[in-house]
Amino acid sequence: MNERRRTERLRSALREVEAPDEHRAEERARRVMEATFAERRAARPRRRTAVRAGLALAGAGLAATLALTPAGAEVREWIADRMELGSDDAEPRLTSLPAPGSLLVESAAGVWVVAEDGARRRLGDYERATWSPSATFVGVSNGAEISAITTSGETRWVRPASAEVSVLDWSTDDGDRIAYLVGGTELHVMAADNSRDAILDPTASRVAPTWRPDRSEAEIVRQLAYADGDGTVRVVDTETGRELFTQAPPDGLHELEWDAGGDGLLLVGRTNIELRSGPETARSWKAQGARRQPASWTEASIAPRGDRIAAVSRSGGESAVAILTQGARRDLITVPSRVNSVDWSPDGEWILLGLPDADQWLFVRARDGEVRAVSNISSQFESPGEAPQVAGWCC
Amino acid sequence: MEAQPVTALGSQAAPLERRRERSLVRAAQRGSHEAFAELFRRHWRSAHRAAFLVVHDDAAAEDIAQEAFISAIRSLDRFDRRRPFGPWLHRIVVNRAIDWTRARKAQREVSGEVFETLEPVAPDVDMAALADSDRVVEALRSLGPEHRAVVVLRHLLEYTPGEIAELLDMPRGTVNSRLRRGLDALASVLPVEGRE
Repeated sequence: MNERRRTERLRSALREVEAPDEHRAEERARRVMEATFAERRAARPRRRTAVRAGLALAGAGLAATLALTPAGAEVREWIADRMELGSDDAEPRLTSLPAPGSLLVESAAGVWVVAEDGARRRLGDYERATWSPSATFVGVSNGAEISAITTSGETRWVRPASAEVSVLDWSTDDGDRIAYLVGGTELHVMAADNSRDAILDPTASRVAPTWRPDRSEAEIVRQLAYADGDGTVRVVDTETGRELFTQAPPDGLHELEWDAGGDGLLLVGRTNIELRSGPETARSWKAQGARRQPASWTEASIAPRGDRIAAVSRSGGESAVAILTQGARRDLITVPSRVNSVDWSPDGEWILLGLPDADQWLFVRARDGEVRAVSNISSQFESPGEAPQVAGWCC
Repeated sequence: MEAQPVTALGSQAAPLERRRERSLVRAAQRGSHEAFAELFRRHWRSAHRAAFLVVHDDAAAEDIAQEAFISAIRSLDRFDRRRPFGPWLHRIVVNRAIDWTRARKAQREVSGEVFETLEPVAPDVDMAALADSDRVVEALRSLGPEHRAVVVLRHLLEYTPGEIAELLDMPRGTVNSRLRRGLDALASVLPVEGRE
């Protein structure tokens, strides 16, 4: 009898419990839900339009011609010779980096950190990696687990995921959020202290999301750009779910990146690279192949100061690297190989290119095209048969 | 202000209510703002309070309940209308609340420059001076998040032990033992007349 009365009293007491600030919390939530629901309704026709636009672009078969500058042609000849000679003219080991900072490298043997003096440290058996903003921590994944580890490999926390984690991106500036993809398409945002996790979009595309740099001094801004399942690019406030703007993607969108100020969003498509400022297209560049051959953009990266873009186009077995600026395009180097990564040094002086076909890395000085090549990359990162990939060159 | 009631949608929910809710979900899937507003009105308070009673952190509880609803909106097109909405939402809320509490506990065991500060230690509380509802909140603090979740699901949201086992993906015997332990912990703060 007492048991039943106690249960009744417990239920009665629980029903009387109010969460602190409950009424205002409900009002806040109501506004967020109304906006989220309205965006869901509004999103449907836009998505269909985006798909049609993408198909139209694909059908157009855009192609253009490459006009190499004399300087670019000379560099191209130089590196083509170097590559044909093999690794004899390249350094056999990575003994130092040409600029301050540390590299984060993903290889078949795990994730590595390379210091400025060339010292390599294997952090552990991980597959994907992302720097925290100050390079104090590294976010890593191994199958269906995410961890935060220190640069000495010490694990700080682990979060299980429901499927394999394919992409990780640690937010810039305050660094208190991590975006990641589970099972290829389920986009999550989690607190970088592992205290909470939310699904932002259950059917996003496989394009890596990118955090908008926060230059607001008045409040913390947490905004993420990503491509949804239809490829539409969405910029979302991850704390409220509020959508700031959407954009139809360029054909074959495969990369997104914010400029340093968070003003411009770079969209790298197969034939077009577009720099968007809000919903407007500020600038676009078409891929151009040598001798009028079709070309496609494969990699691009914005310089740390945001004033230049290093972009790689692939055409006829060659990869051409160009420096794109607001008013000009400067061809920097052409290599007879695929390029699997392009990363700026933190000081904006050097560009690191990964050349998997040659098992080499090229450090190319942006201002004059000076090249420093390093060979035997796979063996240095214990990665036979799988080219190591640079995941970031940080501060 | 008088506390607002929480709608129970466990096995105690009337069949008519369940049919009504299915029609609301169907209408919301078709884009009816009014239908989703009604689903929000029905379920927000229970979701928010359940989260709060598990995490004991007002900001986290609000976040968890909001995230659960946002997740519901984003998954609405794929939601199976034959399933009741409430248990689906409560599963998300309670599991996230448990995860959050576990993570915060784990966070205490590490120190990191970028990590947030920890929750303040609760001051000593004079239980005798509190209302029943406040006593229950304080007493729940002494339980682990999994035990809190089971108590909240059973006695606030009125799910059966079998339904709780399904929601939390745990054996029914575990649910019963956690309920027993939860009630034992709460017994001292909710005495009833007569001999124990």
